[in-house]
Amino acid sequence: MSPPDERSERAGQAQGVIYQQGYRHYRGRYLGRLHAVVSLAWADGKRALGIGRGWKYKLGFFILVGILLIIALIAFGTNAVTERIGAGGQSRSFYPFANPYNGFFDSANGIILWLLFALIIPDLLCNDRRYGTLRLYLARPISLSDYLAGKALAIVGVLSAVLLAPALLLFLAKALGAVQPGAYLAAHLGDLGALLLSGLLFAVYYALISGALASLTKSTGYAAAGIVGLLIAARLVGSTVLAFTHRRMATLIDLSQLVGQIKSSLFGVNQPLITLNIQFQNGSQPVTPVIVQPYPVWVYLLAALAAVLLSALVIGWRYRREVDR
Amino acid sequence: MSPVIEIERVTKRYGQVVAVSDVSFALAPGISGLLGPNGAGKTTLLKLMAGLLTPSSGQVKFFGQKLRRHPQLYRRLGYCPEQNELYDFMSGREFLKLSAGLYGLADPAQAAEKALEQVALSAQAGRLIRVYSRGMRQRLKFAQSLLPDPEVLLLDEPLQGADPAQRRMLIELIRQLGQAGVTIVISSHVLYEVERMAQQIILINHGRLIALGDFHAIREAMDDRPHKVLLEVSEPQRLAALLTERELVSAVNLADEQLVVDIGDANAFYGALPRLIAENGLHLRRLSGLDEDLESVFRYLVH
Amino acid sequence: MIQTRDLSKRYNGTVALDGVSLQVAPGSIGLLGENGAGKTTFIKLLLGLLQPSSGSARVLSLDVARQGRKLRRRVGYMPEDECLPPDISAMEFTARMGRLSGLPHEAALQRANDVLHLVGLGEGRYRPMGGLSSGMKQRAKLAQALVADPELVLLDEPTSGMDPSGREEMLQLIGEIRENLGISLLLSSHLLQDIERVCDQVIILSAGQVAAQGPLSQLLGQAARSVHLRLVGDVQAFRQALTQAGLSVHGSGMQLTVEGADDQVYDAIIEAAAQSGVQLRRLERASRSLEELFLALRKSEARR
Repeated sequence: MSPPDERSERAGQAQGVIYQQGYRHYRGRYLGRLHAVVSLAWADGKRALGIGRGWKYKLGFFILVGILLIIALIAFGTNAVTERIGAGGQSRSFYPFANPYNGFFDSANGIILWLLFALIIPDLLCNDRRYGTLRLYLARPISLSDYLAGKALAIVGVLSAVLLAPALLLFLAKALGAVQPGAYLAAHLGDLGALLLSGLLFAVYYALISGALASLTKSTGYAAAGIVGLLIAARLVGSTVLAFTHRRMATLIDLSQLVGQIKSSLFGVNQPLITLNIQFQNGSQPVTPVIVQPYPVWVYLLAALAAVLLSALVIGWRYRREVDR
Repeated sequence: MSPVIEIERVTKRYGQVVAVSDVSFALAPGISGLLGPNGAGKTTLLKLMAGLLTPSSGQVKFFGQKLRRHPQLYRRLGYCPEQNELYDFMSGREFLKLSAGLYGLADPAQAAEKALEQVALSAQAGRLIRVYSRGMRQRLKFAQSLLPDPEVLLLDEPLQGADPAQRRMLIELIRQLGQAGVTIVISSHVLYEVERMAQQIILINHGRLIALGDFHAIREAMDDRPHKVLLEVSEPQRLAALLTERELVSAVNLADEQLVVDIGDANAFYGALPRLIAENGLHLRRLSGLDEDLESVFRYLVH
Repeated sequence: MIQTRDLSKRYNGTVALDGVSLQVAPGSIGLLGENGAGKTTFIKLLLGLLQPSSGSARVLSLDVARQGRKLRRRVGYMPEDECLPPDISAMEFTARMGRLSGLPHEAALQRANDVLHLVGLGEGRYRPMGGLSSGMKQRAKLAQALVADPELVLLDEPTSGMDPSGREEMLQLIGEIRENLGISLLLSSHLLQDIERVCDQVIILSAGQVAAQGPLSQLLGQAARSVHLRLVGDVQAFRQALTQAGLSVHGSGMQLTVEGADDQVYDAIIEAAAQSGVQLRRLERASRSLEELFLALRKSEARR
């Protein structure tokens, strides 16, 4: 609104303008597919973080993230105790909590993390197919791979952030708690790198496996159950086989061991597998711990790569099929 | 003729929600269109008539008897629901045979074949329902309601998803059944299709009965709505003057060669018009009521 | 606006579209066909979502096989089936769809606001869409098709499941899109009267082929062959008067059809009505309806 014109006021004439009410065409510019991918990822990222969602989702999400923070705290405490009593000394490269970050990822690599993936990934992948929204997305100026890239960006972004936040807090606490924070930082730059890589590795690896399972069904419930079920089953079978056979091939059955072992080697920790000596033929023998040495890391790298590739293939196949219908 | 269906002061509540509120009417053989906006209570009313729901108060009678008390009445009744959920793992034929068996028909297989033929689905009857298109599912549901050779047929949106040729076929079939003396109630959102099947309408809104009867008569009963009539005539100005002079019209609108007039008393206007035109040497080429169709009747009554 | 040459699509073995060649000018185009005639496949091909098995198509001068993304920026699509996430508001969803079409963040919000008001969803736009009525959902679907200001919108059964007043409003809206917004549209529907109302051209598909295509007025033809009447009063006397005048009358009850549509026929009708005292409630030239055309094509198809 512009101030009343002086002359017209002098002439005793009030002014009024009626603007055109009808439809306005868009005259601005159109941005490219990168913008589309980022905005898709942005919307889904917010959704995954529970922004603008109902209290049930928020509660589930924040409880799981809270537990991860507690795990980080425990890793901090355990490491502090270890250092005080000196247990780290002789078996520095043996004991997981000797490196607190390794300890954190080691403890986080389990049911809580899987639940988090099961909460987020089916929600972002299944609903679009269940409610038919996928066909609207694909009728936009993006391709199927753009759509999947947006989803991947949101999922990996949120999940690596959720994993890295406690780890980075832990790092900050250690650095600030050290006699000379600057020196601690300089001495542990390697740990910082390993930590970032581990977070990313976990996020990508589990995201692809979960994504492959989620792409098999439209139901978020089935997908979530499938993700947690498969990972738990793999771990159970893996550790049972290990307990009975004491052979390291059992570590390849447990899907979480693949990333676990890669992560340990990133932190420079040689993490052998401790299992119980269970042998039925000799019931009187006392149950003693048995230590099994894992494969060299490249074996796990290859196995993880195979799992990731297989998952990507499943996702690609399922979505291709969805589009062609 | 005694009514086939009698609805007496029927109310249906679901907890706090009143879906049908104190509705009474009676239907004789023939086709009636059940109309109303979404959420008006059409489906509830049909289910009440089909005996699938019991009224919270009031009663529904068939041939003077209560449906719930006389289960054998169900065999004289066909109902075609709106939902599209069917047993996907069966073929159309198996589904109909099963339904015919449930009706207690003597020869389920023969009844199934006959119904399939009626809806022109015989050729695809052997295929699994899972692969049926929407239009085919619709016809299968319809066939299912025809199985007992019913005297009363209640159809909830039977044309949805059908393509133009199938619609035409189903409309013809419904008309034939109506002429054969079946009492048919059909709910639909597509009013000009209802108009082709039924003169009699049952209009409900907010669970209440708004209008019942021949829709032309209903239109005429709306005194507060002047009829708009379009005339194409050789000398529109002259006709306009003649009509105004005789106070047959309350408003006149001239555009191009067309004359649109508002009339209050339809009988007086239409009664005088032919003579007026013939005697004054005018030539009428078109006479259309602009708001006489079911569409307008619905609009006037529901808004 | 749309040109196709020998456009075909086969899905392992079955032929969905078989050598479709046509050329359509901007305007409002009705797409007709029986279930399974290939309408949905045709629409998907026009959007570049499917690759043609053979032949080619251009929409807005863009090749559908190679310039699909570019094309979809300028074309809006409203599918027939459910496609709205229930836990998101129409506002958020429409804006998101706008961004995916390339609108910057702010512009997308502003456009979403505009088009939601345009389609009559102004009030419910912040509510989760799962709670909207079916008519409101249809509006939300239309809004997302319009949000990026397309030059063409493809509407697949836009009035399906709507009640009479909802359908009326939707058709009005669609008419406005063409007339006031200047956006071309391709509308597929089973309700031929809907198409007759808003479309000026039609494409009729049958078994994957074009059965007829062109301006509606041309296809239906202007020539009338008879006159429809509705009467109140003594129909018997009226009928007799017409028959005596040498006209052939058929129909029953209050609705009659008189053969022929020249001036003498009209005058004879008025004369007969004046004499018999019957009330003439309707007198209309019977023009060929789209339904008749559709059914006639179908019969000739069946004979082939």
